[in-house]
Amino acid sequence: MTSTRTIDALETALAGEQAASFGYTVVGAHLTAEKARATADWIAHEKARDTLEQFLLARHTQPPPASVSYTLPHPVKTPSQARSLAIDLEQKVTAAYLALVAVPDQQLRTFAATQMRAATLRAATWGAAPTAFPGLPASALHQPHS
Amino acid sequence: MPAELPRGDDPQRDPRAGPTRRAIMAASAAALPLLAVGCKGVAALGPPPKPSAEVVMLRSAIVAEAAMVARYTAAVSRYGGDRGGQALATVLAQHQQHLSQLRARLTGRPADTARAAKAAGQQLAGTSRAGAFALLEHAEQAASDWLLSQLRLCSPSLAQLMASICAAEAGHVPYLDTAARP
Repeated sequence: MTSTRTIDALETALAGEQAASFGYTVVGAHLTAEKARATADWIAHEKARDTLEQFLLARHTQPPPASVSYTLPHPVKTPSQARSLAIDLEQKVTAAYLALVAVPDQQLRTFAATQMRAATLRAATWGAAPTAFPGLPASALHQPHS
Repeated sequence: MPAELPRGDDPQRDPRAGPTRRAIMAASAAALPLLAVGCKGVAALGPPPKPSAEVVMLRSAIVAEAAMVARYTAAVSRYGGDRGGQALATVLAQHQQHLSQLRARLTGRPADTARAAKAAGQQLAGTSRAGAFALLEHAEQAASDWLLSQLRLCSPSLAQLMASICAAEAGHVPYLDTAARP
């Protein structure tokens, strides 16, 4: 029997992918030269979403539907704002997989870590500066003794 | 003619010459039970336990991260002044943070990083600037792949840290690639 923790982690990751799938339709709508890249990234999130739904169904859990609409973190009217949105989406997806990477199931753990890495790479291609701990909140880190 | 006294029993013996044979034998006899108890105690405890697979892996991760810090320290000293220098310094700082967080999770004997760090620091010797960046990118990708392969050995909280570092190191590759361009 799959634990509640694993189901919760799968649903959190799924919610992240659903939001990213929606967000990339906005990103793509404001880009011309980089539209192909936006489309490729949108497809990557759709595939990850479908895989997460399959993981839930295999554990006798109905995947929650996507929201009807999502609130964007900032207005998107220019290509620069679209790229900024893409970075924001990828960083949120990275964080959304954090619980799944901690479950005991090795298949889910590896899938989650692979998706965290892929999202970090996509954020980098959209111009994100590198961060030391993608997806990890500061509260998860050991604080050096002062 | 009096019988010769055994050596060591000579009342005229210089006390600075060390313990007598009799004293040593007496002390040995007294110590035997202690030695026997001591041996029994060691046998009862058995050999010291082997470190868990997670601890072994964590030590390896620390050694690898220390090697990465040494590589970037060497790279910054050689190319810190050019266009890619700021990128190298940024990545170096992130690896130092990785190393600090990994070390904070290791209990017991610290990982021995000196030899690996020394070897890694010398890897850039004799390479061109482009070769140095390529070497660093390769090292980042290899480190990321290795971390991904080790997740099965991790406790939940360590798995999160390792997955995050795995992502960070993969993210350094395109960053370095951009910084390497003249």
